This record gives sequence, C-alpha cells and structure tokens, in this order.
Amino acid sequence: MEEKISSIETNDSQNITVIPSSDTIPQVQSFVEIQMEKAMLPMRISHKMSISVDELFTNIVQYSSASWAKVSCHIDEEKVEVIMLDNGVRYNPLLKTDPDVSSSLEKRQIGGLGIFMAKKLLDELDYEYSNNLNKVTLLIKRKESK
Amino acid sequence: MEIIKTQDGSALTISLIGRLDTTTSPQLEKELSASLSGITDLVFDFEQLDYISSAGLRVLLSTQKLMNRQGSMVIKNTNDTIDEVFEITGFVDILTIE
Repeated sequence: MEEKISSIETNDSQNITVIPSSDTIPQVQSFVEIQMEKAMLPMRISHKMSISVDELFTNIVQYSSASWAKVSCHIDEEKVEVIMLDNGVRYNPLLKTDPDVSSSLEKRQIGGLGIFMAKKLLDELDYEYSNNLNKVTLLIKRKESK
Repeated sequence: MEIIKTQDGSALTISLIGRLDTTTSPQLEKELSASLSGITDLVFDFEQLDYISSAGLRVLLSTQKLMNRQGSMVIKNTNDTIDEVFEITGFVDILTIE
C-alpha cells in the first residue's frame, strides 16, 4: 500500500493521520485525550491509556521509519480501544524483552521499560502485520479495570 | 508541563504540573541540569502531576543517581496512577516516595 501524505490530516473526530515524528507525538496524545474527555472516562483509565499511547507511538517514531501512521480511538460502554496503523518496517513491539525490574539503581536500564509498562497498564495489547502495515491495538476494559 | 522551583539554600523543591512524558521530559532534564549544583535536599512535589511515562522515569533515575552522590531526593504527593507506575517498574524500591 503506497500512500503519500504531504501534510498532517485529521480525517474526522475518530482518527488522526500524522507523519510519525517527535513533533507529532503531542498531537496523537491530545487526539486520544480529547476522545477520552468527551466520553468522560475516569481519570485512572485515561491516564493509563495516555501513558500507553505515549509508549507505543514513541516506539513507532523511533523504530518504524513509517511515512504515515493512523491512530483511531473507539470508546463504548465496555472499553476504550486505540489502534495504531503504520506503513513502516515490520516491527512487533511485544517481542521486546522485558526489563529486569528488580535490579539495583546503578544497574537499571530504561530500554524496554515503556513497552513493559504498557503491557502492565493495559488489559490487552495486540500486534498484527498485514497488507504491509503494522497494527497495534491498545485496550482497557471500563469495568473491572485493574 | 509546568515546572515550579522553590529554593531555600541547598534545599530545592520542584513541583510539576501536567504530565511527564516523552514530549515534556527533556524540559525537566534541562531544568535539572541547570539547577542541581550545590543542592543537597531535592524534593519533587507531584501533587499536580497527572502521570509519568518511561521517558520521565529515565530522568528520575538519572537524577536519583546524581543525588545519591550529593545529598537526598524525595518524591511526594503521588497519585494512584503514578504509584502504580512506580510499583510495576520496581521504581518503588530505588526511589524514596513519601
């Protein structure tokens, strides 16, 4: 799939397409936060999702070399779900080795910590690769939330 | 994110307002590198901080290492989300959280 996006586009209130870069991380963040505010999600849920969006989208910015990424947000009574689609190199963030979270201060490594945090904060984190696109799905259940 | 500094001699309190994430962490890193010389008591007040992502943890980690050499560092007034982040990452064992 070849799709060229010369500038940042907001398609509608449910998704946003950006060129992945450190400059567009805040745009993706505020897009998701606005959706969550509209839905009046409890802060505990929206904060966990915001952290996870930061980690996963930053990951796309750092590793994918994608020319575009589309982020969509779906909220209903059951769940809040954020889907990130990008046309970059095939990369499964779930395969990243979990860090040792019991090591001492001096030996602490931050690499891999972000994805690990997202795995723990989210109820589900899934990865799929199809049609030459990376698809990451972040989900938090509204009931029985951790 | 807003950074508010209150200094009393070698004691410095840094209050953060907003979120400490990939976008805002460089701002804190820059502020700290200009502020910590001669500081022996560093307090982070997180009363108005919404959440921390791994980029923020990285800054806290390097600051803790520095403060271990020159004094003490304490983190105060964390919310439930931040407590959970410290818990799952094991930071609860390497930081002083009051």
